[in-house]
Amino acid sequence: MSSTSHQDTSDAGLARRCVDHSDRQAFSVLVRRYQDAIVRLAVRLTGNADDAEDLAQECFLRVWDKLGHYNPSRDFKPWLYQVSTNVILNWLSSRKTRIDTSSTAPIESLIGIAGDGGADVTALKNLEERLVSEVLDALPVGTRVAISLRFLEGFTFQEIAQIQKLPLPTVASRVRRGLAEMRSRLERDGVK
Amino acid sequence: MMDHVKATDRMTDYVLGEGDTAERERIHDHIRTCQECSEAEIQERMAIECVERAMQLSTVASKGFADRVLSSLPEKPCRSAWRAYFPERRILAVFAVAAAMVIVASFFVVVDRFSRAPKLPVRVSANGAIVRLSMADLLGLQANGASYPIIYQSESSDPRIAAAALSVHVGFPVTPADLSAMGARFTTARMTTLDGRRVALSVMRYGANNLTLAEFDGKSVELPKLSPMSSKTREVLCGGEANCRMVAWKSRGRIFAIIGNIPDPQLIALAGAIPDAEPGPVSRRLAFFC
Repeated sequence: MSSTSHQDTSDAGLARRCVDHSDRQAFSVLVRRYQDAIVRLAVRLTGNADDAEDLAQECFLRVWDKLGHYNPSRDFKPWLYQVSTNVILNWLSSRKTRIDTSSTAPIESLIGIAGDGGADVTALKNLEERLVSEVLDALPVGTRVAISLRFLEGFTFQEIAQIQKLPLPTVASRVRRGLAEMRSRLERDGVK
Repeated sequence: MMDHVKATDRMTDYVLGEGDTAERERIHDHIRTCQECSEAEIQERMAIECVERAMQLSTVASKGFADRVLSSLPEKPCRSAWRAYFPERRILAVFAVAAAMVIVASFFVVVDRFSRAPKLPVRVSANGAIVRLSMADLLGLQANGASYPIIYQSESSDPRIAAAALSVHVGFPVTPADLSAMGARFTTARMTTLDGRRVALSVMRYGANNLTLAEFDGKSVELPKLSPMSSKTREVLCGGEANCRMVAWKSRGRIFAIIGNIPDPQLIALAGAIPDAEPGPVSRRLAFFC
């Protein structure tokens, strides 16, 4: 017991235990630590909350499978996002379409609810999230990933470049372009 | 001080906290002195905050998510633990270096093979007596990378006539098929007239691609210089019937032979070291040489 209490609980330490001893307990700590973030990333990249959790589960399974490739001398988080992003992008390319709009109410009706009620915060929030989702959907997939990693998870350009395996200037340009697009769309739709 | 246009261009990166520190400090200094950029910075911050806020999600994983993940994990442990301590890029680098070393080594082996002057497969004792060649000698010669051309004269470059001419020299029948089985390649160098006969000087060469004659007289003679045949070359190849010898041997499945006038004492010794021929197919005959 005492030996486990002194064990390294950093991401890299836990990952090392997974690799060395197939330690499921260590992996469960990593899953709990990042599960919300990966689910949110899946929602943002796919625009599909229904499939997001299944995708996040798939991401963690892939992470378990690939942990042998992880280099403990590097940060775990960017590596986790690299693997997860690949899983999600593969899913997207297999689905071809990002969002199933037929299952959700049209934006116009949500605007109507928000406008009439005024106090319907949930509807307003839903509307805003739909708008963001639509704006993201309109972006090229690489830009969408860069924007999500920057503004959802707070990664630096350098970290995003590492995750996407792209040159730093490409990432910077994608973020700037995506940001300009989002800003103009959100301002036009009155999101402040 | 940073100029206004540059500061405007890099405003987004500045607000996002990107770029190197020195540049951010220069933009910062500029903003303090430029009303327009100061306002642009505020606008930029507001816009980015708006996007950041809009990007946030309240979504969280459902209860039991982690348990579901753990229950889905395969029984087998994570892949190859050794990789964890040996990053992929380093493995690639090791392979790249190894491959480069193999390529460089191969290059030197090839260069060495084709540039080394052939050593004669003969040993001459101190008193000049001929020492008989052994299989070990021949294999040793081959191991040293030596290769000799078969040089023959015929009245045509036609392989059939070449084979017939070779038969006369070796004293037993040699067919074009035999030559083909030896893997011989023919190169007709020049047609010339020798002793009133129309003669094609050809080279069958093993292991080398260049058209340089072997060192019969201690010097290489390039084929283009053989037309018309110089007196020196004539002397080297066919100086007199009495000195015209043929040396052939087989080593590790390959056959080597020299035919011609051999003024070099070592080559004369070599020719003498080959026992007399016995009638029979060329393969048996050459096996006998070995």
